[in-house]
Amino acid sequence: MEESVIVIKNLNVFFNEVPILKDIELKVNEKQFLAIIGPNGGGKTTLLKVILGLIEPDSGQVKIKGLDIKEGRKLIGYVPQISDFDKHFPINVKDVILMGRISDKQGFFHSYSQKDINLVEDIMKDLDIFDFKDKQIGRLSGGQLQRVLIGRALVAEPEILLLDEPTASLDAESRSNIYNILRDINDEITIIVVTHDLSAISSYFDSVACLNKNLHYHGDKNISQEDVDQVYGCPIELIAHGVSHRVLGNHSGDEQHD
Amino acid sequence: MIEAILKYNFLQNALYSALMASVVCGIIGTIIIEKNLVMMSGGIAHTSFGGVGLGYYLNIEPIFGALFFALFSSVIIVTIRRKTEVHSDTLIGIMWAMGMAVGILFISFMQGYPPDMSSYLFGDILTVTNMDINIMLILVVIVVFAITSLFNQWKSYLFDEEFSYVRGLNTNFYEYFLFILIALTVIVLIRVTGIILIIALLTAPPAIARLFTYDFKKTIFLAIIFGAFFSLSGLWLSYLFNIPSGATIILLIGITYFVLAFLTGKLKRS
Ligand SMILES: Nc1ncnc2c1ncn2[C@@H]1O[C@H](COP(=O)(O)OP(=O)(O)OP(=O)(O)O)[C@@H](O)[C@H]1O
Ligand SMILES: [Mg+2]
Repeated sequence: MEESVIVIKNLNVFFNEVPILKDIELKVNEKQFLAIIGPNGGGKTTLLKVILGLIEPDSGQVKIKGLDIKEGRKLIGYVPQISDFDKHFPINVKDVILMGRISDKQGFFHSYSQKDINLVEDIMKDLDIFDFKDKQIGRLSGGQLQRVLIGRALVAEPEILLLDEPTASLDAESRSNIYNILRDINDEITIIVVTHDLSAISSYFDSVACLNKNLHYHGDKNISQEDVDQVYGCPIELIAHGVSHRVLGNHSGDEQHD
Repeated sequence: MIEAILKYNFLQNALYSALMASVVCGIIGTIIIEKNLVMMSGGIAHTSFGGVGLGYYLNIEPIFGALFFALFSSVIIVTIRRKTEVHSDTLIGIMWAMGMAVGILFISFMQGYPPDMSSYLFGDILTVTNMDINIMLILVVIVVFAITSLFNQWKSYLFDEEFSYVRGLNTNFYEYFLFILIALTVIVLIRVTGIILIIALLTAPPAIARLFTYDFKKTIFLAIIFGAFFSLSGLWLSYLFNIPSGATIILLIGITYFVLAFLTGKLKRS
């Protein structure tokens, strides 16, 4: 068994006494490529924010590489949901990506080093966004902005990457472009992606978890139709385009997994 | 006017205070526009009126009372904003009016003739004293040093608070610090434009600057230049025609903003 990079035990989150996440148990292994799916309001963003220390859980334990969140979060690259994002700020692409180099280590009168700048330029080239490095971020297309945010997360040289709906409102080509980038990065680092993009699961991810207050997860790509029905509250066709039958495995005796 | 400036101390003070006001307005104004804290800053400014009243009542320098109230209210606002789910707008509205009410009460408690509050409400740059200048200078140095010494960290915090937090920045600290800097800025501006007109001097120069640039640092520099230009020309006009300085500066800069916004909007579309 590989080493677990994220271990969540018995996690509960309430907003105003309403349970948002219930008894979440999750183990993510090194170099895993995990998709988290689930309906709107299912708590996907909340779960990511708990892992990042942005939301304080009411109970439970989160360990990142054996560390508490306070230290462990610095190992994580975070790509927020684009819709939560201030696109009007007067800043260009290169400066946004440079910000990934900021950390708690810098003191007064900090300026970015040549090494920082080289790294940023390399990553911009890898992500194919070097050509508009001087563009104001509000003037990018959705797919371009998404890649800029991925770039900002990557220059921090994280060991784990969390992405919140990186392919929302992208066309098919930009979508597969993003997934291909992620698959390449996955050679080096662990990746967790929140997505509504069921069709991408079989072709790119190696595991999938379903979240709607409760987390349905078996450490692999197998989720039963019951799980999905239960999670979405209505029967959802998992046989989306290109999904292998393994995902549909209606394995018996799995209902008691949590 | 040059001759007069060399000759009269009050004109020199007016000049210095206009320039210092432009510097803090360019910096803090740009920040509050990007962070949507314009009304919040207006709230802090109006709350400080309570401190002006307190100063008169206790017979201490009103600007110290104002400073105390501005700092106090800004810390309260951040704390309430973090701890509860009260909508910021509601909070500002209440503090805004309460501060004014406290000021009015203190003034009414005073024996004899009530003092003339209009220079605090509407500003009177031609009556700025040497002591005002010294206080302003200290506050301006604090604001400029605070922002320039941590510029990259501020930029990251302002642009994306959550991401900065995940990277390990102490965003709590930056939030409180920002509100304290807003309070200091308000105090610098009180003698120049007055409590009621502060918001315009904070927002108009960076708003004009934003018409010409998409860069954070350039926005700040341009805003300082526009602020200095308009406050000096406003000062000159008010001296020339003997009209209120604060109102003159605000109208000048406000009208310029609308004209330029209209023109650049037109130019972009055609
Ligand atoms: N700050 C908050 N205060 C109160 N309730 C909240 C807060 N943030 C989220 N919620 C609630 O928590 C639930 C989960 O929200 P979350 O954003 O995690 O969902 P999600 O799975 O990411 O949804 P989506 O697919 O729409 O992004 C929702 O019911 C939402 O209303
Ligand atoms: Mg979400």
